[in-house]
Amino acid sequence: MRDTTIASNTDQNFTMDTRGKRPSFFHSPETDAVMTALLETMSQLWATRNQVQILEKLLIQKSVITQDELDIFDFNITEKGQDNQAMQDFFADAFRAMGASVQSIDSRNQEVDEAQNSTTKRDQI
Amino acid sequence: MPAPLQHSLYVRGDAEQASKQEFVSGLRGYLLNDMAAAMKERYISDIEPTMAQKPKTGEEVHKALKGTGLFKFYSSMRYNAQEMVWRSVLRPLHRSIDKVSQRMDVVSANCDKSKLTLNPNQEIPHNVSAIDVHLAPGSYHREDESADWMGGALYDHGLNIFSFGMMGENLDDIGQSMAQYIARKFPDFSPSTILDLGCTVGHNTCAWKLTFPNAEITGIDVASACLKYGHARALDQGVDINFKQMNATALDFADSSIDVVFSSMFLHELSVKDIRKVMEEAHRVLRPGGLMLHMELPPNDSMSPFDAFYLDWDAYYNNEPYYKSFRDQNFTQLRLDAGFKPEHLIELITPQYTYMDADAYSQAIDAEQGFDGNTGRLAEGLQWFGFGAWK
Repeated sequence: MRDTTIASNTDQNFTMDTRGKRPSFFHSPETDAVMTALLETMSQLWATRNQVQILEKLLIQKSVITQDELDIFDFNITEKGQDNQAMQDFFADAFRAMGASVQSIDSRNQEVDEAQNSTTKRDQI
Repeated sequence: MPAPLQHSLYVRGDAEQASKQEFVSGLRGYLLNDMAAAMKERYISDIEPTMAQKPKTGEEVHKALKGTGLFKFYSSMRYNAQEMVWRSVLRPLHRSIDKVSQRMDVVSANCDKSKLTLNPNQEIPHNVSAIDVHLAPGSYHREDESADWMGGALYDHGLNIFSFGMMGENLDDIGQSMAQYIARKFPDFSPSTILDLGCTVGHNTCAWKLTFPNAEITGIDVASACLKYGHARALDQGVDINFKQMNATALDFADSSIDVVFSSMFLHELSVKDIRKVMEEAHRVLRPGGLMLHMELPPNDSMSPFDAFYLDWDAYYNNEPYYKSFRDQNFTQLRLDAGFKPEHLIELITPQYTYMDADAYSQAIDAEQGFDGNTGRLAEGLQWFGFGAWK
């Protein structure tokens, strides 16, 4: 990974941010923030994809590998199994919130408060 | 996709930064073509038919669309993409401050110093200083600690990403299209002095020099950051232009001294009060027979309610608060109020000169053209709109 921090200059006032409040297009600012994170992630994914392509091209140009070797390369059965498992784990991580049972934070707070009260009463007995 | 800027002040950044610039440029292309078309289609098929009355204005369309998912996603993505435009070029520019400064010194070393006139007492007007116009951090007049030209470099590099290849390889398609239109339609008109108002980095100012090489051309702007950078940019490209720090509402030129007063994408950044002053000043400094010409977004009364809403998006969400109030004006009345005569008014719609064969361009401007949804809008089929008056 390249170093993309600001290195060549020490201007403390350097800013990348726009002044003022950002409009909230969705029902919650959090959703807007997730959109920002999503688009930045997409941008990084695109840059990474390009860098992989550049590496492939350079390796082929320098005769380290051939295009055919790249195209026909296949993982062995054990590796495929591991890869498949990793993919399922990835899906489980990424989609864990979809379809999950949810509750409002007020409801959750009430449950915790009730549980605490109940515990306190039991302790008093 | 953005091509490299055609001068030696250009900073590309490393491979990762260049890829991110390519991404955001492509994202804007997708949003302004595909997603905008999908939103219009959805509006026509699903939303407008449910409205009690067919909308007559862009505001009504805006109100009807605001709660829809497509508008929210479109707007959120466009807003983020706009921020990403600036962010994608600021980091590489910041890392290259020394390189750009040295290059500016080299190109300016033996130049005629009178070509750049700065005014340290120039007040930065409220419309530029109060907000970050176009969401650009620091606005046009941004000056960093060791880069007093940063606002200009940011604008030049950002515009290149923003326009996703639609403003010409040298970002001067507007200037070239307007100048070529005038030269071809009015072959007897031979201006010797041309003034470009709110010229920023002079990208469209230089274009007039290509068309009228014998004219003395001056670009003015309130932002010294833009002028310093623009001056070096023009020198690097071998174009002889004067740059002066000045507010277009109070021109430091004598009465009847200029042949062409031009601006591009400038008026919509001004309050109506200032637009009136600009036009009055243009009328004052123009010689009899001279031309005032503003390349601009088309007026709202020339567009369908949806298209009016679509262009006004920038007023609400892109820190261009005067965008809508300008487009709500009666453009004819503005010119008449400034002193121009009704029989001398001019309006034009031109295709993009730098994307066409010269003969095809001549044929295109000879054909009658009218407003459509692509007039003034960065998308496939783009045409530029200009309006003004002869004095």
